[in-house]
Amino acid sequence: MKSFLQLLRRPFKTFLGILLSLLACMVICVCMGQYIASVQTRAYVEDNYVSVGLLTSKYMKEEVFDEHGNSVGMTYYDQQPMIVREFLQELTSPEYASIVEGVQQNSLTSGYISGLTPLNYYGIKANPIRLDTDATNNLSIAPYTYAMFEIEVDEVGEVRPFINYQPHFPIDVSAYGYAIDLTGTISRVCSLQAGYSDPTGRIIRLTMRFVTEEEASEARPQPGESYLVCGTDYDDLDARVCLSIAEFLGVEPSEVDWNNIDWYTEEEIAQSQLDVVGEYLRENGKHLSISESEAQMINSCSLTVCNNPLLYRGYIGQTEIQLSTGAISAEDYAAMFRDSGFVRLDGSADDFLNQTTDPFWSEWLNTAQVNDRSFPILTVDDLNAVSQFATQDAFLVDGRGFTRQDASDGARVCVISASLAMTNGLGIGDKITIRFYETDMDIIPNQTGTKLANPSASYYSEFKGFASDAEVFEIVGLYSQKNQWEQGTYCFTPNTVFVPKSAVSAGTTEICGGIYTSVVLKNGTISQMEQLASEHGFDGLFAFYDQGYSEIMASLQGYYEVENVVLRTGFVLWGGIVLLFLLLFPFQLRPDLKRMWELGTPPAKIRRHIFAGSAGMLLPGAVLGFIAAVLLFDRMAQHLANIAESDLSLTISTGTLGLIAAAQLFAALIIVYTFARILTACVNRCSRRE
Amino acid sequence: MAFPYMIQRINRQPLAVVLLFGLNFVTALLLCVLHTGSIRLNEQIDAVYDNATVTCRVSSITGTQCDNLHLPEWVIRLFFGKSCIPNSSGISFSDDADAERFLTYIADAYAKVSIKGQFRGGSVNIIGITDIEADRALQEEYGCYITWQEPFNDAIFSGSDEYCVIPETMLTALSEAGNIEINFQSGDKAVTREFLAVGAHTGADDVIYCPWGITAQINREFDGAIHADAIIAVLRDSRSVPEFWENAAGNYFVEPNPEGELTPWEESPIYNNYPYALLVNNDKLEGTVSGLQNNLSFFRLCTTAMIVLSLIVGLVAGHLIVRKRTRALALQQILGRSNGNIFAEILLELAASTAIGIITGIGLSCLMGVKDFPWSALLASPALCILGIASAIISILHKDLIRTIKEDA
Repeated sequence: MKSFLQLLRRPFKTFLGILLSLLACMVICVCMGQYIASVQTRAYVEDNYVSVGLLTSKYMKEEVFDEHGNSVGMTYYDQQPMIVREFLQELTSPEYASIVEGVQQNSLTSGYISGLTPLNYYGIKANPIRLDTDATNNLSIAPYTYAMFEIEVDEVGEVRPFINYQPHFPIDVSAYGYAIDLTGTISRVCSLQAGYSDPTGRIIRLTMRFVTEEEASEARPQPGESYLVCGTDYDDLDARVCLSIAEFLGVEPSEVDWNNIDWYTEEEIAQSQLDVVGEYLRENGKHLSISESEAQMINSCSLTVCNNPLLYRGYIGQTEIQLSTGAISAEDYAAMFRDSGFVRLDGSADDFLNQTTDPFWSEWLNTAQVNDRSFPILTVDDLNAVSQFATQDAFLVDGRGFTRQDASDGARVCVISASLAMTNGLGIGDKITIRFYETDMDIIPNQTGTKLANPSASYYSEFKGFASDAEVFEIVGLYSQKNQWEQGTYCFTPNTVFVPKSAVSAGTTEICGGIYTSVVLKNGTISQMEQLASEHGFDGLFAFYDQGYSEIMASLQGYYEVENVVLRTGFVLWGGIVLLFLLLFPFQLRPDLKRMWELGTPPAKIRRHIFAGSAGMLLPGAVLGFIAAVLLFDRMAQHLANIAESDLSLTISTGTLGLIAAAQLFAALIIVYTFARILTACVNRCSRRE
Repeated sequence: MAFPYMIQRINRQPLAVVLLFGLNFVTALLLCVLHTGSIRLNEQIDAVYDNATVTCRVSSITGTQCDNLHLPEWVIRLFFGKSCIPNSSGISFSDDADAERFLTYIADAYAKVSIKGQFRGGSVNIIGITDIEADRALQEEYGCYITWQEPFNDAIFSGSDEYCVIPETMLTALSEAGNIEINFQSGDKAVTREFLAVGAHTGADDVIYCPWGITAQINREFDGAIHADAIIAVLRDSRSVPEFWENAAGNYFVEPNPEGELTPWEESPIYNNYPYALLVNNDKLEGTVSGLQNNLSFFRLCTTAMIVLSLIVGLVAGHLIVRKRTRALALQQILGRSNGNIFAEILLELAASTAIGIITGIGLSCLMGVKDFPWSALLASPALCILGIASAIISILHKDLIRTIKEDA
């Protein structure tokens, strides 16, 4: 206590000591704060740049050799082979932790979103960008193909075997039944996905399929009759031919005008050696021949109605059908999975639908309603590791991606495409309600589930139903794509909704490759990963993307080194100030210490006197330094927030600053205590010698 | 105001002077280090810009399509210059000087165009590219590998010789000389071209790649004009994106607008609205550099804070030192010395300590290898410190010192 009181006796000197302590605290806080800001910048950069290895298709095919070792063909896999999957599994081991951050396996499920209308590239007449035509990558319009129309029959063909040619491979053609082709006019659309242009008044090219010839003959419609038809493979032929001509002419599909076609006379058609029936005239006087098949597609659409779903795969004649859940009888299957129908109308379609007791029609309408608003839901943990985001072909235009907390908490948040949001009048912060449903592998034909790119939602199955209740998801980000209807290896359509993996409780489909699998690397380790893959015999397995990180990596390292130098300088300066403090204060106490020793004061008390005196200056100095640093950093952060529109906010919490101030004070006190011990020992020795 | 007397007084009260010296020494050293650091950080930020590649692509107005755009000649001329287009008469609806300026911002440009052709009765796509970078479908990253015949390589695409790269599946259809004949037809016009296959790719089975120059000629023969499906360009200077927009790109393109709203193009006699947008791929780089610059601003603010601290240190230290000498000063006043004289004497003493501290700090910095000094900061810091000291001296000298002594007693 006396030591403290002594400080008050010499306020000037004490104040100078406090000032030095304040300066030491300020220097260390500024330098450490600067370093922390640098660490934050570094973390921001590391989070912002994601280095990924995307799986190429190099190992998805295998050459087949005969017994003489001659190549006889190629086997193509619809996902990465087992050896690649094993290698990916191996990459997650701690042995490669310095290179590989993890293997992100995204998965797919389907979701019905009642308030959202999917985009349909047929409807908006967007020409898909063709990179390749691999079936695992192409765009499809499934499951938006359910359609129910009221039609007026125009022309009816004869009953024919559905397969009326002899295929090269041996199949039982009778198992595919019989068919009638007819054309009619759509008088009313009862159900069609909202993305298509309205086909009312268009020609419908209908194929009716039956199990037996008798059934077909009995049901054969007559011209002039009205029918209600529903099927699951609606095709807008008009849009299809329009896109094809637009691609050929190199113009926007919206520029294609059927009035520009100069149709040939019958005489000219007869003279034409090819099946050309007209010419599409272009502004510059050039023309494009229109074939008969193309002409038939103009202003028309197509649909198949089938009275037994077993006809789709030629299962007629089988008594039992093997499903994923077990075997059932063919009759039961036909009743359960019936997905199309037709009925002759005596009145209007509405009257029929209101009066019919056959539950098929209402169930079909329910299923169609779900399919028309269903979306492929891609569950991911880190959006940046998803192929198109990693290649920068897709990017967030508004909002944010998923945070680590979103991923761990299973937050009900989603990222949708800006095009989809705009079409539906949605924005960041809006909420959508998703009901998840799983793929029913027993639906024939099932077009989804095995595509590596551009996945679609699955067809909804009444039997499986929904896998979850309606769950509310908040839109937190909007993405855009450089080519949103692209048929590339790593593409997805703008209908794709991204959600955190842990936010989905429904069953999902996981495929190895394409947009589903990314190897997330530590930034700057691409060459090491290349070498690693090469050592394991997987040359060319990965395509690497780091968004330009490798180009600027050296400069960033240089940047961080400067920050390190500043930190080291800060420590040296702090050491210098503490040394100055020791020389100006405890060291100046030598005569007092000598006197105390001569008066018989125990060395421990002498040490305490030195320590208490110094601590009395260091402590208020550190407190004042801490207060000054907090004010300084707060002002700086505010100032920076005003002048820079950066995503990065340099925040150094008061707690961190307090910790730094306390740590430097602790270090200074230890130094003073050690110095006090040395000084006491020296004084003792000198006094004894004297 | 004799100098030796000042030394005597310093000797009498060394602590204050040494402290002032020490504080200024530390300040000078820190300022030099911070300044050198900020210079090096700036250099590193420049290096980040220099090493980064910023690309731009012509896109649809919404920015959601960069391929299949059927870009007209004027767009191609902007990116490749007049020389790449035979018989070109410049940008028809705008100032040629603007177009020349546009080209100065472009380091490399890649274009791609696709034409339908017939090979042995089947339809094939002939894709003309200026470089392998122009079409991702041909790159290894997209699973496509090219086997070149010696001595050919991808340099063929920048030439105008009739070479081509065919799909592997087409290899069996080659003539002995390695040639393939492709028929092109548009309306009444038909042209047959013979290409020498110099490589085979593993991409799509119906796609043949050839130099852009060849497809441009065919385009011109059929349509009287050439076009491109997609154009990608690498900017010469990653820093110049705002300038590029203002001086060049903004005259011809708009920024992508997700809502597809059209922007009127009053200068153009052809278009009512801008037909294309330009997608500049610099968001990530700007985000990174902005973060680094933010950090640098923080650094500079620390320097400013150090200078402001000098003022406070000067004020406090000056006040404490002078107050300690109240008795001596009162005596000098009694002996008839003017306040101005006393002020000058004390100020000189403390200013000398400050200056020596700063000079020593600069000297040590020099020994540490600092070459570029923050002279303005190094002058401002002691100046503010001395200003603080002066304020403290004045405030004390203006008081009645005798009464102060009595009160203290």
